[in-house]
Amino acid sequence: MSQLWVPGRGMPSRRHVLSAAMLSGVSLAGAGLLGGCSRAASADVTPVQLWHLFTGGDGGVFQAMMDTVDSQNPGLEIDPVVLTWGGPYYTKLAMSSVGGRSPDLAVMHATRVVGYAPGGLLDTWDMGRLAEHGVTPDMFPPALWNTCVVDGEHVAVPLDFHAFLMFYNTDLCDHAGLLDPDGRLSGLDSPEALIDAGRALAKVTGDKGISFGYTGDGAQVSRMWWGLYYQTGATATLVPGQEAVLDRDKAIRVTQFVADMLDGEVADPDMDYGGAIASFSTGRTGITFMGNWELQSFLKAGITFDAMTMPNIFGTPATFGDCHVFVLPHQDRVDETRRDAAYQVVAGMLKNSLDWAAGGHTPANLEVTRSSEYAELVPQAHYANAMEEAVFEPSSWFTGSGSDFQARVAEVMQSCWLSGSVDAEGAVDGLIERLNTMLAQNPPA
Amino acid sequence: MSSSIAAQRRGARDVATTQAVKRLGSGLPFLIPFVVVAVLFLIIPVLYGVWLSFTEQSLMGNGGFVGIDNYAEAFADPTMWATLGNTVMFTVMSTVPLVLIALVMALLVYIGIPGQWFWRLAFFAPYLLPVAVVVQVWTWLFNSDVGFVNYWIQQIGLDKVGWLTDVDVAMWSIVVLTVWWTVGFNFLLYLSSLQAIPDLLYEAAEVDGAGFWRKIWSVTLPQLRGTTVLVATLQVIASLKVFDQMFIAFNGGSGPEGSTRPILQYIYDTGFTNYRMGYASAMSYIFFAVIIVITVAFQLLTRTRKDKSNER
Repeated sequence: MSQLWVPGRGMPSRRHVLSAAMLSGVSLAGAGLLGGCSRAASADVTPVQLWHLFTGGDGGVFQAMMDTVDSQNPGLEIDPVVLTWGGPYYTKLAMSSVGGRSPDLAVMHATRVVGYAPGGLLDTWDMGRLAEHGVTPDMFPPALWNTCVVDGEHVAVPLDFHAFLMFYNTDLCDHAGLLDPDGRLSGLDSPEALIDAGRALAKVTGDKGISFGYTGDGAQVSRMWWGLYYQTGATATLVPGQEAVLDRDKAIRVTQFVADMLDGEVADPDMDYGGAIASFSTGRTGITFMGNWELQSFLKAGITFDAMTMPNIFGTPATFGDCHVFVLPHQDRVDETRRDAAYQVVAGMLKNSLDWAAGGHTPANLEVTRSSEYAELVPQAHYANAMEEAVFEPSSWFTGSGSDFQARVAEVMQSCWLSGSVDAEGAVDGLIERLNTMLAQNPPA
Repeated sequence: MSSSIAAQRRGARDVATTQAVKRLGSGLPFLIPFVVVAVLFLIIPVLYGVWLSFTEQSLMGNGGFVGIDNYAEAFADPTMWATLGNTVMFTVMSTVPLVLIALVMALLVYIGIPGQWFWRLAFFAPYLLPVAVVVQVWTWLFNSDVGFVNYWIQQIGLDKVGWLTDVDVAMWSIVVLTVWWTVGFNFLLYLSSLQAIPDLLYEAAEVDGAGFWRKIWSVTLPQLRGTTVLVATLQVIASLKVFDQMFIAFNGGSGPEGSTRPILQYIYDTGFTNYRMGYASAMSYIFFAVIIVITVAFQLLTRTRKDKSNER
């Protein structure tokens, strides 16, 4: 055997490799810690950690607003953490608050505040301190402001209202003869009128007239259903430990209307969220029901379109929506400097919320929505009335955006709309049964 | 005399014992990290979970001891049974193709279709992808409107299929993507045991005049029985644990009409979205029991077959 190479000789021993690995691990960790020292720690600025759930088009706009606030306030630096919206976001936020070492500031949905505040997961806003930074209740529409008050405590400050809208392709609607002299879609004042419009559009597109993407998507089902339910003038009251109070007949009418619309001619019953965006963006449908946050998607698609609040087909104007709010997640030890900086950030974001309108949202700050600059934004200004028609999911600890309950509602509604395995009555009874099951449970607190 | 022999023996035994103790002593430090991790992250959580399942624990605090209330609620909860049904359905639907296709793929490579390295790579490569990537790719392929699959279906003149939106199809779609993603691992197990079959057996069979199919049937498959049991058992356990694919494909929702939500997702939703940890723990232990029952039953079933074949 040649002595050219003896296994093991000249090679580092296992012990050497292990100690080297450990050393380099320690030094890497050290480097990481040093690297973590930001401007905030080294200079005379206060960091504000802000958790939010805006990604995609929204995320870019939100980041730009934070940059603006940063540059306007040299004494503070926003340190954002972006997390995907939905159940997981709320789980993380709740866990950080339970641990008492949560971020200084967070964004959440107004409809989820009810489930958070009584459990002690949120600290309250000091009205006096907000006023010092120029934020007062009269800046906001009362409907939005009231959703931020739980048991008399101000636990949230609204940033915007986001609505479930009707987007329509103006070219296709023009061909179908649906536009009024101003070029706006009108006359959709009954369930029949909306379905007829869809049929007329289907003739123009040669495909379907309307798209509604909802399969496997509880949020979309809830947006459509609760919005139309409130249009009937009915109310819903959910009190834990009691039966749900719901107008069954009106609920059946609403469920039946959506089923009628999804007949395969006016609209496809078998469509998901992405499919609805795709079909509207490519002109295969002339109307789609979608959240205002998809505005940028349609602008990029290069179609001519406009948007309006949900047409009033059942008699009472109502547009389903929710509201992004700023909250102070509970902290065991509050650093007053950082808390003050959090107030400053919120004030700054509200002042700059004209930029936020670019993402499709309607800013909560009335000074912005009443400004002439906002009036020039089209189609945003065309659905500014969403604020006055705002309706929310009935409030309870288990409801709200991104809640598991939305998936529950979707299951039973889809059984009627998608496969037709139950009729409208059965679907509504299924919904009431699910509501009662949840109401019978102890609220987590 | 005899006592001195006994003493010697005892001495030798003492030495052996000391050596064993010494060996154990020098081995212990290597054992400690595992024991610590197992106790901290496995044994304590498992016991804590049992305790939680008897309380009304939420994320925000403990509502106190409730006895077997959570278990009683779970047994009467139609959603738990429905999602458990979905999980079992998925297991049945995915295990069969994951075993059969892996076997066929391994045989094709083994009998020597040209370009073996390429087939091995192609069959195994998907397994290396993270689940998020796999699901993202397939949800695009399956998109009913702009998806690649429906495009070709329509090109050949058929109606488009709601791969992820149709109640009757959605679970199959998840099965297809799961098979594509994970079949490579089973393929590899089969291939290695195919290569371990002694050539002698095939030569003997050939001398006896066996053709290709006879050799597959009478030599290859019986030799692969052990592997098949292993692959199938691993697969059943893996499929019962399904969660990621559905969760990502439906954005944390429950699929059309809830038809694809597995029980693990329901447990997750209950514990982490509705914050009812106690109830989620109770359902976890029920599911744990179901897994044990299914696995033991499966083992018994395969063992019986083996014994019978030995008698022959």
